[in-house]
Amino acid sequence: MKRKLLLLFLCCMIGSTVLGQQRLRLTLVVRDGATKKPVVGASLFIAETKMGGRADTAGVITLNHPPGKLTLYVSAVGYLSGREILVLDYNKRVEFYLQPRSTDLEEVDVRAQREDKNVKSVQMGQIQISMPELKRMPVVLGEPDILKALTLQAGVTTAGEGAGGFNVRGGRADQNLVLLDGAPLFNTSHLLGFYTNVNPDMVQDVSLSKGAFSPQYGGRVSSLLLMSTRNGNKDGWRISGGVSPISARVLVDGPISKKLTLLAGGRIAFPNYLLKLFPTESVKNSRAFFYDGSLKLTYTPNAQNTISISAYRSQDNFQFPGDTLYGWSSNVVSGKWSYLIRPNLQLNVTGLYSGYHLHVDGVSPGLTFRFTSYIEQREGKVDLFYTLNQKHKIQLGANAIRYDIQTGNVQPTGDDSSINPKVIAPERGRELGAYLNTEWELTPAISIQAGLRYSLFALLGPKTVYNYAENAPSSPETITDSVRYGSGQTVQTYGGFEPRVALRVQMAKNTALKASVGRTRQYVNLISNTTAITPLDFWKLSDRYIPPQIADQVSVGVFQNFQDNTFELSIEGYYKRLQNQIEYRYGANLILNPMLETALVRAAGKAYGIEFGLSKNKGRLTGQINYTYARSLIAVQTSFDALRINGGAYYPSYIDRPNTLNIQTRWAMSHNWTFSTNFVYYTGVPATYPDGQYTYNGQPVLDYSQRNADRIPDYHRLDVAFSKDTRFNKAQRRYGIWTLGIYNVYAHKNPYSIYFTRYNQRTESYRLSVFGTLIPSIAYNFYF
Amino acid sequence: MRQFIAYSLMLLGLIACIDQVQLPIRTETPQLVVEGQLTNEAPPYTVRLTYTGKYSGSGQDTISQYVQGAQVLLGDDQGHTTSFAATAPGRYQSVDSTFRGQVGRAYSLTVVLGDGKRYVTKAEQMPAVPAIDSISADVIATTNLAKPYQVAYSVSLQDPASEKNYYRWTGYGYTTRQTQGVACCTGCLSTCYNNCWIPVSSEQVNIFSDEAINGNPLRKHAVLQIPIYSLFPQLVEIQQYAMTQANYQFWKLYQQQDTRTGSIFDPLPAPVTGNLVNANVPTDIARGYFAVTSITRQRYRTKTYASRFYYAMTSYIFNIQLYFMPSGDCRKTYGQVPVVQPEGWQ
Repeated sequence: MKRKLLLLFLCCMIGSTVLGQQRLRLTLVVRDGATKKPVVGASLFIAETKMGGRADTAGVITLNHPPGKLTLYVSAVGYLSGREILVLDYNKRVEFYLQPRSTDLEEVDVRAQREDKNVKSVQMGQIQISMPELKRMPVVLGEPDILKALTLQAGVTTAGEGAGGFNVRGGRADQNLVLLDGAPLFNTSHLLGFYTNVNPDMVQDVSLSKGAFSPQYGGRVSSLLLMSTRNGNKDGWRISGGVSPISARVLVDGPISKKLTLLAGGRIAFPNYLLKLFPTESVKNSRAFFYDGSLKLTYTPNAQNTISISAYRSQDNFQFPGDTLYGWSSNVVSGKWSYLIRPNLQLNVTGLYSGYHLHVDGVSPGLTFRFTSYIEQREGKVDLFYTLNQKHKIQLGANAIRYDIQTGNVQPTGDDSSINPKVIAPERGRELGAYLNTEWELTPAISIQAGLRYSLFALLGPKTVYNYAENAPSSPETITDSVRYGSGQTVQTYGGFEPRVALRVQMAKNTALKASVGRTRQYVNLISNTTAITPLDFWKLSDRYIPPQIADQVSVGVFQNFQDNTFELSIEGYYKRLQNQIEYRYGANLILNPMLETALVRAAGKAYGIEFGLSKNKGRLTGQINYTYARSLIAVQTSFDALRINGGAYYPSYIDRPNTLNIQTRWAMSHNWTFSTNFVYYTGVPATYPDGQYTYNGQPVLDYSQRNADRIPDYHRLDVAFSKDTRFNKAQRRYGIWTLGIYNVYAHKNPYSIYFTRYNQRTESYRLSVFGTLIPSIAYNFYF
Repeated sequence: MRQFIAYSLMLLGLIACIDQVQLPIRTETPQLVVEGQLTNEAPPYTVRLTYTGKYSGSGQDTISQYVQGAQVLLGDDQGHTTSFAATAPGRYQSVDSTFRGQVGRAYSLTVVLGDGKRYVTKAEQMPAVPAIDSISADVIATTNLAKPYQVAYSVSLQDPASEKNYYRWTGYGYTTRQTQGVACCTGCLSTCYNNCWIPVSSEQVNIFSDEAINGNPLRKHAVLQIPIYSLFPQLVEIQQYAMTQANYQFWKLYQQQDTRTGSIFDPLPAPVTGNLVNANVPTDIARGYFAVTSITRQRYRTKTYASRFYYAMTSYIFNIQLYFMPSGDCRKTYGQVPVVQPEGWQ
């Protein structure tokens, strides 16, 4: 058990005179470390003399004690006990602050939950990230990263080392509903994916649902990632932050008044000095920059009402000398009113805006332009939580979303630009959803969560819809006619039910069997013709030719805890079927294409797998091992032979990784040192190697006749980190945490990709390792 | 997109590493490859037919890849046809000297292989090529120590507003390199074979769609760079092609696939298929393209190398090129190239 004690007054006079039998008065005032209120009934025990006392209603313990060096132990029910050494050389009054067991001054660790939650809760396929542990993990260049930590969990992968976004159980990166304080984030990365654009200091908890998630949420088919920012501290102002080789972060929070708290934080990056280290002029003169910032105001006028307003902004820029300038930003604002109507009835009303904007400035002489694209979502939602009794809860709600999307708009800049303006008509859509959900403990051994969501989507005008000849693949040449829809007119509607059911059967005290089944629908699609998502990708609403994506997932799992919940074992299997996936025709032109459907082809997907997890949550050595066997396959569905990829058969998707093994350990050493390790192994992702060659235009050309028929070599890596917490005791308010890490300790040259380069007439294959060596890092996080 | 790849690789350049690897290579069924074009210039026209070979890295077609015994037929929308005769392994040449491509007329190629497989192209109409307004020549300094000064040639033209235009440019030219030469005859004082006219061609696929600039001038579109080794004139010819939209898309795909670096930001790998399709099996699409294209050519003779680099450039010519001038017949140093100025440039 950790002890937390803050001693505010400590005096040590070496040369003081010790008087024989004289007794001095020692007065202790024991207070709650969080509320500063007196702790009634706290006990004092002095080790040397076996004397002690109990605190009165004012939290005061008074003793007459001989002078000397004393070891004081203070304890109280509901608090972490404290220990302090004191030299009693005159009458002293000392204040002790005891920390409540349920809070941690450093940060709230989301693992502070029921120890047997994985057995007792009906949910399955859940991942939660501990924020304090995140900062002690070995990471590239010392920058703590939420999404990178998620990818060390079973069932979560990325397209490659340094790639943005993440993939859950064979789903694509755009199929994850990433919510920051309830508002969706359409882009989650800085620097093309090397870093996540959410500052971990701001975040209180992170939870990812890999399976059928609550019907309260909809709009994405693969997973739900909930991130909530912290509320400002009510008791006083605090400053915390951190410095890594690539960025600096700072966070300020505290009370503006008794009812109003503020949390404001930001992060700013300085990658340019890394670029300046390069000898090449073009790199040296390149510029990259990013920042993100958040603000949260929480107003609690009384015990029944809480109003909070969150704002978030992230911006990235980079430019090559004399070349195109890229910039992209995310802006999110959300407001939430929570009203406790009755002790068992709560109403939440939320309004939000989330936008992602991209601009590209071309600066070639005579061809200067600005290209822009964006997606904006405005949403209002109401949720009502009703607790009938401890065993039965009901939740219902509704939401309405308006989407505004610009897939592409190019305008000339400067007087001598030959570029013609071109605007793809902006898209507007409306999504309505309503749900009912119940969680019911039928018997102590059986719980069920059953919910039903209904979503209804409408694409709104103005829009021109083209009709194509039916006997040929759609193309600009096969347009037969077009229909023009006026502003606000409904162009196309889609909708349907999304049932989600989960069942838990307690087999024994520490054993549970769980099953879940669910359907999800998605009406927005990320258009991206590359393996990894990039900032240039754009969003597109479902329309006549792009029906909504639908996923059906069934999962079954066994959960077992051992030794007083010290060990957790889980085995989960799942099967997922995906409809209406988007694939791209060979040589598809996506940018500024007003007939985008002529570049796309519809596909079906399926994913299945089994995930084994074993974690140890108590003791000096904690950690987890997880192994996943998973497949992710896709097949193009078209009646036109020429458009079929691999003949229309199922083939491995870009995120198909059959075997994944992650081992994480954390060893709490003496003197507040912690030693953490990560080990990662996975099968290489599918790739397409050339399977033929010929000469064309006087040059050798490589032929790729089968897609994803090859695999790059397997990946494995070990990272270690030592972290030192500078606190003398857990109640200390001002402290720092140093983290020294080594990424890829044994310098394995992991293949990031295999590529082929031609020198004169000869083509050779090469392996690119992004982190081809070990990468040391140092980071400092402080709390003042 | 290239910038993104370059950026991401550069950012990690200090720690990233690249190693040559040997990979297991699959063997797939050979596919037909077609290369040829019909133009508005005088026949004969050539079609090259090969098969894809096993990937080996060497880049050379093997003899077994050449298509032998194929029947090749080119026809227009008015019923005129010409057959092709084999002139070399895999090489077929049109035999009717009166069959000449005309702008506005549609053409289709048929290939019947020895095993009876029949491939046809969808009829394509020959587009008209806009005129080149002017060729610009600019002396530039490069970081290439072997070729520190070059002339960059570019074209300017007025894009017609009334139609979609898809352009392609190629270019070639001559630059001179000098040696000490040999006596023109025994006992002669005059020197011969001291000036070699070295041919230089554009290598990159250079295409452009007027989609973004329709109806506007296209100014100084770069085509070719030729190194400067002496103050003799350079001779340049630039060919400007008008392509069909499908042909432009083929070249886009070719470029896209040719510049793949294996990065996760690469476009997805794809076979560079074109317009020649098996008449019975629609999924059997030949690699390469049979183009129906019109051409305009313009020549240019560099008269001056005036530029802000002039003094540095002349210093380079006199102190490096002339000082280290090789002895003997220039063809011994620079190969079988012309030793007199090629004709056709005024």
